[in-house]
Amino acid sequence: MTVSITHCWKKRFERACVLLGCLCFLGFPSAAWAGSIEPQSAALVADETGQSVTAGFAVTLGPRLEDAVGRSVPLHFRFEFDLTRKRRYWIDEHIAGRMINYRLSYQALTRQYRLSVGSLHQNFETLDEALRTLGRVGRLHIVDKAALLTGETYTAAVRLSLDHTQLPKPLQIDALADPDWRLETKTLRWDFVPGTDK
Amino acid sequence: MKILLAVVAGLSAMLVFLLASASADTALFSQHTPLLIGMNALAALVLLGLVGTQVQRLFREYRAGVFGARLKSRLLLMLALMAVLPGTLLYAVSMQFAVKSIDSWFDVRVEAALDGGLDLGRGVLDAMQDDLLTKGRSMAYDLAGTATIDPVLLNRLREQSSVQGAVVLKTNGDMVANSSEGLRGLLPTLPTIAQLRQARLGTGNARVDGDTESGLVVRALVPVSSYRIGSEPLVLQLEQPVPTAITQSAGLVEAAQRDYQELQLGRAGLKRLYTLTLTFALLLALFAAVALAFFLAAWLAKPLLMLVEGTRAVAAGDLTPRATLETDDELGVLTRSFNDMTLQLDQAKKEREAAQVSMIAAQRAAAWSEVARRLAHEIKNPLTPIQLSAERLQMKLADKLDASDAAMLARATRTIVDQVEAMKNMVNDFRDYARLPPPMPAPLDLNALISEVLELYDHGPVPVTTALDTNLPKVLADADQMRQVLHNLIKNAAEAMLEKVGAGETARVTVSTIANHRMARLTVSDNGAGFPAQILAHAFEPYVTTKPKGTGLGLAIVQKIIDDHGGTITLANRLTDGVVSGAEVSLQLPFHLNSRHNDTAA
Repeated sequence: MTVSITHCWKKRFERACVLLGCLCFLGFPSAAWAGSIEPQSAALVADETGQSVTAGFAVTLGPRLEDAVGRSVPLHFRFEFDLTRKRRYWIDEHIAGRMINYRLSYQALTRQYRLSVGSLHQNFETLDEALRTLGRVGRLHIVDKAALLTGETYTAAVRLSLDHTQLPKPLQIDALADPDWRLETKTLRWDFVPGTDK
Repeated sequence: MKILLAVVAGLSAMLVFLLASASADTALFSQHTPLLIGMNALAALVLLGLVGTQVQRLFREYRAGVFGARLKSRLLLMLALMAVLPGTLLYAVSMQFAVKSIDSWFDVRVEAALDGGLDLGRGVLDAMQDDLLTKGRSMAYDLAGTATIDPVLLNRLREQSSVQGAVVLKTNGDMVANSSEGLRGLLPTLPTIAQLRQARLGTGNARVDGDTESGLVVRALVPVSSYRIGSEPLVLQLEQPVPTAITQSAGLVEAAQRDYQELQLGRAGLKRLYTLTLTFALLLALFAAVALAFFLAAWLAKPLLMLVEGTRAVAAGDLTPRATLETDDELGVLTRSFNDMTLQLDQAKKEREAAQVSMIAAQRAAAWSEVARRLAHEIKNPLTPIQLSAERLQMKLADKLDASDAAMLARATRTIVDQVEAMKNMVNDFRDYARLPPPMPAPLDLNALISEVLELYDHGPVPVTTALDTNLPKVLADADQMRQVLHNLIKNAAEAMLEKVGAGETARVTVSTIANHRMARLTVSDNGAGFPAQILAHAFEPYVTTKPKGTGLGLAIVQKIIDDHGGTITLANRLTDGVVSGAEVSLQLPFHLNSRHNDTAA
């Protein structure tokens, strides 16, 4: 628990510092047309040993990021899933979590987009195809049956986000100043009661 | 404050160094660059705060007219300027340099060359695809003429076209025939159903699979159109690896183009990053320099302020020693010599005052002696005739009176004679006290003197015992005066004991000596009733006495002599189990300085 609390403070401190870094640039630039990642659907479904998650996201990069991909700058995305249980008078208990890192890149020579997860990769002729595949997470095993209590209410959350820290450094600096470099990401949360959907 | 400043300055130096390393190196800290920038900004703010409080404090002092604030501000301004001006110049130059050097990386011709290189690569791949597609069509034409796909024919056709792998597939993905060069293509990479369907509908397509690291492969899918009705549609896939040399070169071009694009995209950000790093370095250095300037100014101003304060104090008449600066430099020497100067002034002043005092004292003593001498003379002169007259009266009249009157006359005459004698004694004592000459100190063996004096008391009514320190060094004292002191003290003690002797009790007077830390201590003690409290408090004042016939000058003379010798004298009652068991008088006299050495030499 201590670990997570200190981690939380560390995160806050980092955020504060990053914010301060943002303020170093002249004011906040006005909002411009930026891309977004909208969660569209997400559900936990029972599988042989427990629960799996399926989720769909609508990914639009926006002109700035599309241009960057077109110039062979690889973009890193991160899919996060968290399952927590609410506790009274105490912080939520973390039950399960999954994280998948995606890498979206463009190969200028073959004019193909490539989506990689670890050492696996898939090529696409168009960016839209690649983004569609990126936005689909299907039947990802999350948690074993034994870890869940029937009738208890759990909160599940999914999120797909652009990992800015993996951008080349100058672009990170740009991203601090320019919202076009950022991707609006929303977290989809829903309550889940195991046993009801059986 | 000093420590805090040092810590913050150290931390900020580290942060700037990290940020600079991060700016210079593309991979290092790339994830934490925004964090680093934020922390640098924080450090700059903290330093600004520190400097701000210091400036504010100095300003307040300046406004309040605090002594030294003016000098400190001037020094601070000078030191700060010395840091700020070169810093700013350096900043401007490096900024220009950094931004210009970033711009110089980008060249239209380089960009065009890289684009051209990439196009060339694409062109090669396109040509290979076209070539493979053409070959495929020709093979498909040849294959279409046969009733069934003959593996031998396929192999021959493949070899004729010098293609590495050829495979004939049904549209559901089932393999009909396969031919490949060597062992490499034993199990060829098969297309997806969607690709097969797409290929069957058109006139064929070609694509490039793989990447520049694992190798590129050109694949062509061509429909094999059979003339016979009812035959199953087939698709021919040809596979040809792109030569390694081409792949590598194309890969290099691709990587270079990617890097160049990335650089160009990040141009503004890079400039910003460099600007920020330089600005932070400047700000932190400036703030740290200004903060340091505060301490330097205070340090430089300190000796000057000390001197100014010293001169003010001297002008006001205060000659007490000032704090000095314990450094080897000229300022330290200056403060020290200033201190020496005030010390000498102080000494001269004190000597002058002492001389004045002693002169006045000598004058007063001389006047007093003169008065005392004349007074004694004047009083003593009529005393002898009074005494003689009384004695004569008694002699002449004694026979003419009756017995009772004669007795009365005898009593009265004795009274007159006794009182005249007492008055004479008193006048003598008085004269002695006033006329006491200054001592002529010489090395003196105190023990020998005591033995000599005690001989006079050998047959007295009160026994005197001694407890002498045989190793007592010589003291510096006037022998005559010390003899008088001893007489006074022993006589006092013996007289106090007379009562006890009269009562038939054991009376004892003890004289003892002991060496006590560069001083000789001489104690005369008795076992009598001790000093009454009021005597203990005022014993050394003249005319205080316990004796019915005393003048009260005995102890006063003793004290005067001991004072003149630079010794001390104390009166006390000896206590045994909390009960007064006698009186004691202790003297402390300084040793003759060389006496120990003399003793050891002898």
